[in-house]
Amino acid sequence: MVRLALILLALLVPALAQGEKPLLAGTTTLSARYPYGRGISYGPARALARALGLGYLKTASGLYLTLGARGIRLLVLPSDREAVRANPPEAFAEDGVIYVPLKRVAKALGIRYVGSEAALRMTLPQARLVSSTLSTPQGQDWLWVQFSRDANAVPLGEGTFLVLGGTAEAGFKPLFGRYLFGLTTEAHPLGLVLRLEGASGLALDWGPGPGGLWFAIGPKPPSFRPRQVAVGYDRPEDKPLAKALVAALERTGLRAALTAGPPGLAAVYLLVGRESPAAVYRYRPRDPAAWPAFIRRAREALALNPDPALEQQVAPIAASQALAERLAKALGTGVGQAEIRKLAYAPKAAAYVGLDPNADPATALNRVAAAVKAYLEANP
Amino acid sequence: MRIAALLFAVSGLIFFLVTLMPPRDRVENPPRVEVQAEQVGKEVLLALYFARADGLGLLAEKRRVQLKPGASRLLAAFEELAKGPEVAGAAPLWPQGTPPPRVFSGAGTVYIDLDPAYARLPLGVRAESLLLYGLANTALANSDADEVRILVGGTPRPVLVHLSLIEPFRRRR
Repeated sequence: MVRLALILLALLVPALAQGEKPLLAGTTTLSARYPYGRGISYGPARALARALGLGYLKTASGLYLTLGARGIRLLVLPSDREAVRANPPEAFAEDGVIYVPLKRVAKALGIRYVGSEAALRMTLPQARLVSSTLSTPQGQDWLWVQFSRDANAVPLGEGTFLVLGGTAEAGFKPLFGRYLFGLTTEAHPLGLVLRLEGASGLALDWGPGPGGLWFAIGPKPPSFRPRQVAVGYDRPEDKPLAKALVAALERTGLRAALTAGPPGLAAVYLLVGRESPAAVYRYRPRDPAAWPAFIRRAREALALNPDPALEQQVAPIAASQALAERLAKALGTGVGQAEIRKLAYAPKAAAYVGLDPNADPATALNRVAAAVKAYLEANP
Repeated sequence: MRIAALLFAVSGLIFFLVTLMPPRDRVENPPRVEVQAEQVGKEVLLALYFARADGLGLLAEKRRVQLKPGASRLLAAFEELAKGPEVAGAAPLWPQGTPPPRVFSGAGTVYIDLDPAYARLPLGVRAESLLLYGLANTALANSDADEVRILVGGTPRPVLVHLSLIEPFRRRR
């Protein structure tokens, strides 16, 4: 009898050590395990972090998982046996994968943990944008964006952030600070994109706070000089031409850069393409309401009050016409108007330059560069 | 008693006739779905907008055609547009070999659906403007619609290549 019990025990211990259950983390199905049958569920840390939008940092002193202002540090022990016996339970590494105690992580980060006989579930509700508050202490804009729960954010570009698991109605909220003039929200497959309108080209500090994110926006140090010309393109085939134009602009002493995204604070934005014969266009929408709201409002504000801080952000439509006229003269053509979408998002002087593929590109590029330089000298 | 029986019979007849009549809203408000066919064999005068051969604008061509069975003025116009211009100094809106646009209408809007191949054409702003305005002007000139929306591959897109497709092309009043 005793022998039979020992045999059964010998069979049961490895079975308990291997115990596994499906773990639904957010919308991702992972596998949870129960080392040594001690009733402590463990899951793979990196996969869990990816599924729930958690911050993940592995250092010599341990593994850090974060969610907004919340965080947990776990020791990574060499064996599961030591990890489950620790009080509180710690993480362990096996075959290059770090496993973390799920209940402890869920409690520390405010994640909902539901267990049943069949499966485990860890979920986070969507981080709903609740409010945004702007204040302007000491020459800076300080923006506090409150969500319905703690959330992580990833910077996507100048003044643009992706809030993982975030949600809000897409739109634009005007904010009247020294530099900021609006907060744009857009849906994203992984959450919510926040765009701080006016932050591009400025110094920007940011971080998580309880249930939200803070942003401090102010002028760059005196050594910072925004680029003068941004050059973009619509068709991938036109990228080499755009690069060649950047080089031609730099040869005239201008600070120019290629951009696939918005032009930011560059004083001039040129969109390059091919036209036969050469052509120059400036933006004109079919519907006047099609101007992006933040640019339209900033231009209206500038017309009422020519504030130097506002002039850093936006130029009147006449600036694009003046630039386009110089470019057209250089290429021996006239100025057309069209609803070119990328030009709509350029807050300062912007024009489309279509270069003739049958003409000598070097000559045309040098003429364009000289026209831009002349425009900038006339409009410092 | 006889009068009551007569009244009952007359009211039954009225009820029967009323149920046979089509509902009023079907008569007064025909639903606007797809392109409505016009009288077969009817001769119509179409206004077709082609590109000018020098690429500097659009050129309107008037063309008289007999409507085919199931065709409407709008469908006939796009069928003729696909055949290319007959007047001198005009050029087709899209290059040969590109699938012709699909067109349909509803609720005061004409939808022109372009094959995704159009987004890969080597179009500059000038050629793209001619294509989009040529299509939109032809649609507005040959329908009662107030606006034209252009789709690519059956879905709304922000741009074709350079130009915005977000705002509709509206009839000028």
